[in-house]
Amino acid sequence: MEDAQSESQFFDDYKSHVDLIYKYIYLRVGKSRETAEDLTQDTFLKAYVNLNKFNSSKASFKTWLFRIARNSVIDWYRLKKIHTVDIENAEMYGKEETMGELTEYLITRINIMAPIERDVILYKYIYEFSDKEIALIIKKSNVATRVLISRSIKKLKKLTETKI
Amino acid sequence: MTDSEIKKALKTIDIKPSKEFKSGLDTRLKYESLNHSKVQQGSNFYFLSNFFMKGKVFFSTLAVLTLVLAGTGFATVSAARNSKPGDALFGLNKSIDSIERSLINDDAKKVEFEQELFDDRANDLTEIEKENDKDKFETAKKEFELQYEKLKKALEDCDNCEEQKQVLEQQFEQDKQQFEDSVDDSNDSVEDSSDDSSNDSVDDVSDDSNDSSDSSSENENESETKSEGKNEIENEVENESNDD
Repeated sequence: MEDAQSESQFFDDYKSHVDLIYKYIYLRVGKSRETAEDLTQDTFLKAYVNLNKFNSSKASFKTWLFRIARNSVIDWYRLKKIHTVDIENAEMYGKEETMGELTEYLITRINIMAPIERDVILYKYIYEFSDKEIALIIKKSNVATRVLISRSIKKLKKLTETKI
Repeated sequence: MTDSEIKKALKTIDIKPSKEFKSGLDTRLKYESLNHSKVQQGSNFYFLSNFFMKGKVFFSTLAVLTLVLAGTGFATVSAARNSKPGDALFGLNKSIDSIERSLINDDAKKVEFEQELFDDRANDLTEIEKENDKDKFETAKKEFELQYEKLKKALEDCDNCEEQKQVLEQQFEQDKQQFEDSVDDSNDSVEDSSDDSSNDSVDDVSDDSNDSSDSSSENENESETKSEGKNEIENEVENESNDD
């Protein structure tokens, strides 16, 4: 893509993706509004600076943004040295936003899963990415991604067997 | 929970960033965009990077040109860099200087650059003076004056190099004096040389004529000596015959 063209395209397109990226990061960092805002900004700045690396024939703009957002979240966890949150912490984080009781419960269960499992659950159920797109975001083969998705869904179902 | 229940529960999550955050993000990205383009344009090689980004056609054209230039161009450029005012390649030398000049953004560095060229033109003038070529000397003098004006302008445009200005102004005066002296000397030498050569040629011719007249007089003396000798022999023969 030509530089000037891709830059003007970026400013046209990014606004329609801000809510999606923010929501993903918010759910992934334990529902902290401040962290979600920082990482969302970080994601779009990284996207803008690396615009010349975006190849529309390989992935859509949305997929590419989610990949950057995921890396920002991973970096943040690496810095904080937090890889999983236990149920108590997950419930504590859940005070900021008001969600339905069932949704709150579901989020706390998702948050005790492994980071990559959390990711694929969110990509699959909230953003309805195809298995191929998820494979591109998490940088894994299609087969490995399908296996991971299936395993994560089974795990979530098992975790939510207990009624509220 | 079933698959559809999970999907439904997650779909109901309505989380959005605040309007303030969105507005702040927009401002930040626009600022980044301005800053990014400024950084690129500020670079000395911005025009090159921009050129390379234009596409494969330009890049391949450049590659071919580079190959051609690699064969012949570098030798020519090298010869041009050593050329002096009045030489055939001096125009190319000046063009290279112009390109270098356009790549300098800093005023103080521009002054340094013009100072170096000023020194070069001064050296050229001194060397050409020795060659005794009046036309070439006039060209070198013009180039020296032009460079003098360029350095002067660079100094005027430079706001943050007061100290440099003072040092260079002193040097200016010295060089100017030297230049004026060299012009006077060269004019004198040109006049002297023309006078000397014409007088020499006249003197040479007159000397030659004198030489030839001298040689004829020598011949006359020789014949006189010979006749004197003949007389002496005749006298001696007469004396001997008388004695007999």
